[in-house]
Amino acid sequence: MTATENITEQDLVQQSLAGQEEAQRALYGRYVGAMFHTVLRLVSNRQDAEDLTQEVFVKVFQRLDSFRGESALGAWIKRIAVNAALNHLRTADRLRMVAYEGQQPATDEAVDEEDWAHDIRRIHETIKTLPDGCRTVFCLHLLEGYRHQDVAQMLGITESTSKTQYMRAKRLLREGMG
Amino acid sequence: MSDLEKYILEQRDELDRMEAVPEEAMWQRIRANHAPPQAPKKAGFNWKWLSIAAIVLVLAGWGLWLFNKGEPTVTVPLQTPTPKVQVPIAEQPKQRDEEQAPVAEQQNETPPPAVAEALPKAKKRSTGKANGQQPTAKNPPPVVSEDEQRLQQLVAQKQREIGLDTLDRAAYADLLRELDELEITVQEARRDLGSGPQQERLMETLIRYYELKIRILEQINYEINKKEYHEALEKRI
Repeated sequence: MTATENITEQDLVQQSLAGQEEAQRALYGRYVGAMFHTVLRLVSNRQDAEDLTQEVFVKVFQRLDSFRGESALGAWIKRIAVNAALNHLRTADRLRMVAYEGQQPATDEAVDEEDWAHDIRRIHETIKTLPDGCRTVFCLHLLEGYRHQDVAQMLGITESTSKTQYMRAKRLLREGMG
Repeated sequence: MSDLEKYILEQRDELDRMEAVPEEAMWQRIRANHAPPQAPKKAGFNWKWLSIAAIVLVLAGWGLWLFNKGEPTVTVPLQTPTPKVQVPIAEQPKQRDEEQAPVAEQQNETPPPAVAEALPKAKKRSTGKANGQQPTAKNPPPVVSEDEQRLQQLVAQKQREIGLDTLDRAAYADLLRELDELEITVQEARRDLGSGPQQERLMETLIRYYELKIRILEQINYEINKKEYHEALEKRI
């Protein structure tokens, strides 16, 4: 067990700001896994995810003195990571929402009647194959916990579009799992 | 919520361990390309801060010099070889300022139009001599509360105009980096001069900070408009 393993978040920030490399490394190590996967799910490309995660932590260290502790450090870093990933998708013009014309399932119960493999690795792989627009909505809403209202604001779409794209992602995911 | 969603949420942590993270390699790249923040130097000064302080001192000295010249009446030598005459200061200050200000200062130190209204007031207050009050640590000068608030509103307005939150950071990376560096510098200035007898210098620095920030935001706005114009032009072609 290292000396920084049980250190509190606040102390980790203070020590990082004071230039202690061990604390900076510990802060990075504590959050890099989750941030890498968050970004990877959004951009769906491993090399881009590595580059963006690297950029995210450069920003984190540059702006750490502006972190006021009003939210958890992880949430603060996640916001930076999500913004970086969304900017990347926007720059590449990958955030276009394709209109969903498929038949929507009447209820979630109808979905559950269908057979799908309870395999989280397969789900992870299938998420990466979803179209950019609906995958982004799906990840932000279900996995990152943003409300549809927030997702809509972040992506510049309507709340209704966000919900529709989410349904589309669920449907495609289920089909991919079948 | 469907069973699929429930299952995914139950396995949420597992999803963050699906792929190998090149943790050490990324850390080395972060360290090589962008060193994480180092411990602040004991002296508390760096070159960036010193250069800002130098600018502030020049401005303060210039202001002081102008202030000392500002008597109720002033003797103005006319260009023609006539005797000196007494001219009320109210009739002459603008002309005198223009004559005395160095050309470079007139060109480079003019605040952005948006700041022009707030800035003279702030500068006047920051000297603490206009109304005979000297700022102290216990009695911080009004610029911190009033003028700073006004300048902050101007900055916020500019940020809204360019949509800073949704801005494509990659496209304006250089200007945004300047903004970030400016933030770091002013944080250091606040830390170094935040308390004690150097409040006056802090005020001058803050005014200069907002002025620079608004200049950069206006530059970004200009770049955005230029880009949109060229895109529209390309479409027409």
